[in-house]
Amino acid sequence: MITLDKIDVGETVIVNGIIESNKKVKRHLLEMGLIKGTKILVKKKSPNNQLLTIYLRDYNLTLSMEDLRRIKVEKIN
Amino acid sequence: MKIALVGNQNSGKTTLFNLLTGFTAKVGNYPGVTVEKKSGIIKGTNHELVDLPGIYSLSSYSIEEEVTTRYIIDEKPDLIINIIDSTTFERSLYLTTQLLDLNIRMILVLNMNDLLLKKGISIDEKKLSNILGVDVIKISALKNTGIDELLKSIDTNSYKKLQRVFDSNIEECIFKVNSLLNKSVTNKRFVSIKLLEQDNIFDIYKSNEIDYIINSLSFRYSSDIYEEIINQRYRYIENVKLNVFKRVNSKISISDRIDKVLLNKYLSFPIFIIIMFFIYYLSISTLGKSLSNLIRVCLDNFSFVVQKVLQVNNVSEWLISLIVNGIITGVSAVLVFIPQLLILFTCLSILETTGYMSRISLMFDSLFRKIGLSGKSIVPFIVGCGCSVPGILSSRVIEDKRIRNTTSILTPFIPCGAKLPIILMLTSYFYKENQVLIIMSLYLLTILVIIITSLLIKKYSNKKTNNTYIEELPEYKNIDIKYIFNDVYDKISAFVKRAGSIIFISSIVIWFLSSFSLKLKYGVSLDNTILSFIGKKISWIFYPMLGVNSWQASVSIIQGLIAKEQVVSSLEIINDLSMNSFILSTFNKQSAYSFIVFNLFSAPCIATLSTLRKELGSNKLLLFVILYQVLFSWILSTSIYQISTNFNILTLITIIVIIYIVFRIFKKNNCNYKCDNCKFKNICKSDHHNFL
Repeated sequence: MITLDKIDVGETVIVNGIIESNKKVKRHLLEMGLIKGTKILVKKKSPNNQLLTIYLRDYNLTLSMEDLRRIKVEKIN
Repeated sequence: MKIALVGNQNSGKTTLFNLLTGFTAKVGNYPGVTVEKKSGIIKGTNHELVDLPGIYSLSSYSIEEEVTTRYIIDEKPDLIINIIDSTTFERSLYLTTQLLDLNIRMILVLNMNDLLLKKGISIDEKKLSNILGVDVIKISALKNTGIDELLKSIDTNSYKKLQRVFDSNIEECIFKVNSLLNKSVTNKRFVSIKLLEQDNIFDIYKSNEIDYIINSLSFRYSSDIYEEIINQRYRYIENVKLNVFKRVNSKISISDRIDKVLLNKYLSFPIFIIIMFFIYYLSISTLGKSLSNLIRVCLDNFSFVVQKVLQVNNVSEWLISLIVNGIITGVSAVLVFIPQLLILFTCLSILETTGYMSRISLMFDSLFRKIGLSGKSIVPFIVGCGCSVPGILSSRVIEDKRIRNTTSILTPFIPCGAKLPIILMLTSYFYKENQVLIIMSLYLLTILVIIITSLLIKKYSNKKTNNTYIEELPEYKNIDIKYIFNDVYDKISAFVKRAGSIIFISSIVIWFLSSFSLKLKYGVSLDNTILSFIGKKISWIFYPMLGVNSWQASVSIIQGLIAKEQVVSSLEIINDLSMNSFILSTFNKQSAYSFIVFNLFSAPCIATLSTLRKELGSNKLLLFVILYQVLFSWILSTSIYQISTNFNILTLITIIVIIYIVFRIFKKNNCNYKCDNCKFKNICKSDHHNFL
């Protein structure tokens, strides 16, 4: 099981689920569109690598490492 | 009609609001919370339009969403205008599906279609209207198109069809919960769904039967109900999108190309510093300063003229003094500031509307998180370089309450435009050779003070903070002049109303205290005034940091409570009266530096305090903050003076010991996520230990 923090810039992955360690955060992530099956393109890293910008559902979302570790993804072949 | 304007942040909501209401907007607060409430009358009609906070969903995990949900349920608007950014159709429609659950008439407004067209896509609004069951209108808020159609639609009655977002299982449960609700509940469908989602906002309607329904439903699906509901909403949206999107051709975004430079690993910070320097230079030094001086000259001439006129008409001396030295001087203090603030706010507004501000917050976020703030805290700090009042007001962009309050408390530490004269005047007297170096040392000291205070607050606050950063990164957009105009106008009027009125009143008070003796006789020398009496009584407090008992210095500091520029003007007046010997004879290099330090970090001016009180919402907290600031600055400035005056081995050892103690307090415990054996498992404030 691989999480989004391990994905490099330029890769496209599919969301496989969100690890629930904090219900509020999980719900927020889901409502922003990170439901199972959503296609994500990893776009940019912040200058010090602590934040990642991903492209999903026609918009850019920036997430912190802690959030990225919660998002389970599947690589596309 | 009462109309609510609802939409995501960055959807053009405020632009549309301004277009529809002109300049009739009233700004206030929602009761009990520090969320801004904006309402106005739509031009040419009787309809009241309320601009609700920009939200992404009606789930209540931030105060903005709660306020919006409450407003819709309690105030029962007659119509909801949902504005969406067409380029983010899928995500935007999420909120729309929630709004459709309400029993309130709705119009969907598609904004920014021109941007979507550039991406080669067009939306079939008639088809969309049929699917959703509401009027759908394409507009461009920026280009002012489609507004007439919108106004027409507001006045015509459109019906709502029940749309099929959820599957039959969930609909069945919605129906069941619906029937269990009290007859008095309006928007039963909406409330039922929120209860199924286990959203706390409607906890008062919970009951055992409803819990039973929820449990049996979770059994059916492999995930929690709220997750299933969110899934089904997005499936519905994907389906709708397939039906209404007409693709022409696709294009790569320019924003990404720009970000390659602006968010580049090596270039981003230097570029940021250059931009900030340019803004600061423009607003404080060159353009701003010349305009300020212009106003100052005009006001000086005006006050001269007024004085002559009054004298000619034999007005009594104290009244002349009250008007000229009290009122006019007080008002000038505020007016002179305005050009600099105007330029500063315009520049910052440009940064915000083009989208660069989001990049700034991104760049600073991880750095700031280390001391318990967020990337967005940088905005109040930057604005605070001009004046703390709008600085504290701009901390409203921060959602997390603790971080927002911390940022507000820290903002006054930043040397504002009024504190700058203190620094400049005293350093030009005592540090002519290395003035720039000394000034830089003061800014570095400020950063240190902010870091230490922030860490202290973080350590002793009992709220867990997530290290989550979930923010949309908007595409770069063109400058919206109307928006900037309104934004700057709002900020300047906040400054004038808030700071202006308080400074005005306190100028008169200070004038009174410095013109009358204890026996209320007018026209006594400075040495015999009430103010000097107070100063003499408390000059012992400042003795340890100045090395002398100077009531004049104490008096200047008191005047600094009103407005920090008063410190300088007060010192200058005293200096004039003493034939230019006062400053050089009272201060020396070390005491001048510690005097500056004290004024920089002690309690800010009354205007700032009152703004802070409003944002913090608690008298107790404000008192605590004031106490902390005064004590901290006193200890700091006294230490600096004492150590620099008596520098020897003993003081060196003391410094080293203090630094060591400070480090031990703030030392970060090494965390390798091996929480089972970790002795801090119970008090660890990060929630990663829940992974195991």
